[in-house]
Amino acid sequence: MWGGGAVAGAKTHYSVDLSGVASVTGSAAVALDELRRSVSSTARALDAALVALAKSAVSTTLEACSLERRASGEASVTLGGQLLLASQEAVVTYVGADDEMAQATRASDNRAVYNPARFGSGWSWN
Amino acid sequence: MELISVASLPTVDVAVETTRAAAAEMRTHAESVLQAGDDLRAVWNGLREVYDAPETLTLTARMADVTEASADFGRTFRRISGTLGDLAEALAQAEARLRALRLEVDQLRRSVLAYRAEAAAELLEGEWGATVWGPGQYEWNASLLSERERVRRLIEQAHDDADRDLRAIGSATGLVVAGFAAPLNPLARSWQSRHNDFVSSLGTHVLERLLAMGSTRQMEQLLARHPDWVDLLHAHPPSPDVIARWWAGIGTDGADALVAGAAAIIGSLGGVPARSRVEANRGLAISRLAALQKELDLLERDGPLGPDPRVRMSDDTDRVIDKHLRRLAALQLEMDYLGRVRSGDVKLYLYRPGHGEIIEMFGDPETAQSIITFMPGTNTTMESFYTSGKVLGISALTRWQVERSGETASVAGFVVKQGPFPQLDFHLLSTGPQNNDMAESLGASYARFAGELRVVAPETPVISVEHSFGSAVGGVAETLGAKFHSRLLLAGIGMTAEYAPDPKTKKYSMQASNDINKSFDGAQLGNWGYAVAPTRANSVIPLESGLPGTPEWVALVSPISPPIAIAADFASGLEQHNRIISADEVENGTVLNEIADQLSTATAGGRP
Repeated sequence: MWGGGAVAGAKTHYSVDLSGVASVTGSAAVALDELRRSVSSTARALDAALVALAKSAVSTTLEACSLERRASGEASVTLGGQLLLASQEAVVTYVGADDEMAQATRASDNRAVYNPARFGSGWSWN
Repeated sequence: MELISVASLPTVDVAVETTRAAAAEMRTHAESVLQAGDDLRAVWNGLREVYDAPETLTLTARMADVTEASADFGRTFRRISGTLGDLAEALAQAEARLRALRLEVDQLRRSVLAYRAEAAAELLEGEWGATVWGPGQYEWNASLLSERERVRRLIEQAHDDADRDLRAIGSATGLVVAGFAAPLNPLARSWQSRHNDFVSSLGTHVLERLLAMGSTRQMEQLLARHPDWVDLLHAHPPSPDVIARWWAGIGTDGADALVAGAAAIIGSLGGVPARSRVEANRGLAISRLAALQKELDLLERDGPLGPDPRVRMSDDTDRVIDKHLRRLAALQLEMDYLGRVRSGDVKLYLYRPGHGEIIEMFGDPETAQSIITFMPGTNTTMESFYTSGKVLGISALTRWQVERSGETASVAGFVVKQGPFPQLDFHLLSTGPQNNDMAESLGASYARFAGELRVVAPETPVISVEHSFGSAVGGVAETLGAKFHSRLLLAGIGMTAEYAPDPKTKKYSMQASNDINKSFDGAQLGNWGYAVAPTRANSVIPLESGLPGTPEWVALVSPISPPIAIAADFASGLEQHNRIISADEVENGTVLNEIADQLSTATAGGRP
């Protein structure tokens, strides 16, 4: 099950333990749901604080220092979900064509069933 | 010096309690963010162990960025919550002091104004009276002015501190999202829900792939390369109705190919027609029979002491020989049974011997007018199936009910074992019948099985007959939504405290008056015991069992020798506890006929 045929100069392996992936992605889904709930609840608490401080200059500072974080927190959940979906799509593709993937996949090859460049497109990192 | 007034006092222009509550909420949820991020990182790191592909590193690296961003989010809002909490605390103090100050200012002003009014009246000099102070009033006013100033500074300091702390928070690290303006939708589907759909669809993709292989041989080769695909479909099967629809569309050739080439999947896949499952499991039984035959041949060739000369010279040859003979006997027993499966005498709806799972089927559930599912009790093993006869044993009662329906074949039956059962053995404390943990897992499986029957035989009423510990399993299944027409508890041990009855499922009980389980009725402490006894008080209707109960001679002996009487009554209770599942028409006729009547009544009426 593990490892594919050797092709000189290329990374050729492509093997997936379906039960194992289902277990990992299932647990990741639980964690992502909790992350989403917690990030949303934190943002709601922030909104409540901004209303409570509306007449104070502190609210301006609070809004300024939290704006970016709020966006990055919400983005982290969204991107985490995208990664989860991407891995699931790749697994489904693998189930349909494991032989081809095991034999011929290369990270830099356009024929690769899953192109790593797809991950996180549209996002920037520092 | 000015006379202090309430209007001159500073104000707190913040909703302090709301701020305090928001800070506390923020802290709690920020901590949850940190924990969830940690969990996500730990879980996702495991992906490398099971997902070996060119993009694996990218997947794990990008998720690390996600968790870093969430950690930054959590840490930052934990810090903000601390700042807001401090601000709220300081402002709450200021508000308290302002409340006290207002009262005192009011008192002072009334005192001063009264004094001045009096002085003005006496001296007839209003102008002068407006600035006079009574005894101590000047000092009192001065102290209140000082307090006003201190509170003003407290408020300003609190705001300044909060502002400084918040400004000190740096830019976000990790994930930076330019122009991200998509707040999370609280009503969006959960990732768990999407994941369940994914896993369920994955099973269908596996089946499609197998089907596309065409030949049985290729299917077998594919599954040999991917044993995890079999595990996946056992752990996360598509729902039975999805499978039933899918199966109906693959044609006879496809179905036959899957039954032969993917028996390990099809033999336990809910929604597949019963006859196809039986055929798949027959194939598995034949394969196992061949493997057992090889083992038997080796054992017989090598003899009890085997080929290793050191064994022959050891002092432990008796034990080795005994073990050898026991293994031979066990092999022969199992092979005899599998031979009956091969010949079609025994039909298996489920056969996973490595997991202790087997369901023996009688009749045809797809044409029957009613179905009996028999859930056995303590001490049930795989061997219980191998040794069961027509009158005694685990499947005797079910076989009797199906065969009694004769040529009309109006009744079908299943004897169900979907995992390990409690045993009265050396591990009594951990896996004895008093431990209700096993009922939980077996009950969940039983509920799934009942759900499968609703798909393959949707209009057919199902009567669950449960013996002893089996009633706890049936109770869990009912709680989890199994739609039985009725349940009949034979010498039932009862149900756990979590039992939630389905009012549409009728419950009946039958047992000898001195049944051994009566001593434990209604007793539960944690995962030991069963709180809900099978009694009328718990909406379980008792029926006459026809079993004799305590023998008359025991009552006569009791005054003479109570210990003998107690022991004899226990032995009698135990014997009748087992007799109640026999197919002996003389000894157990009342029970057999009651079940038969219920099966025919259910045929006429069905589940409401």
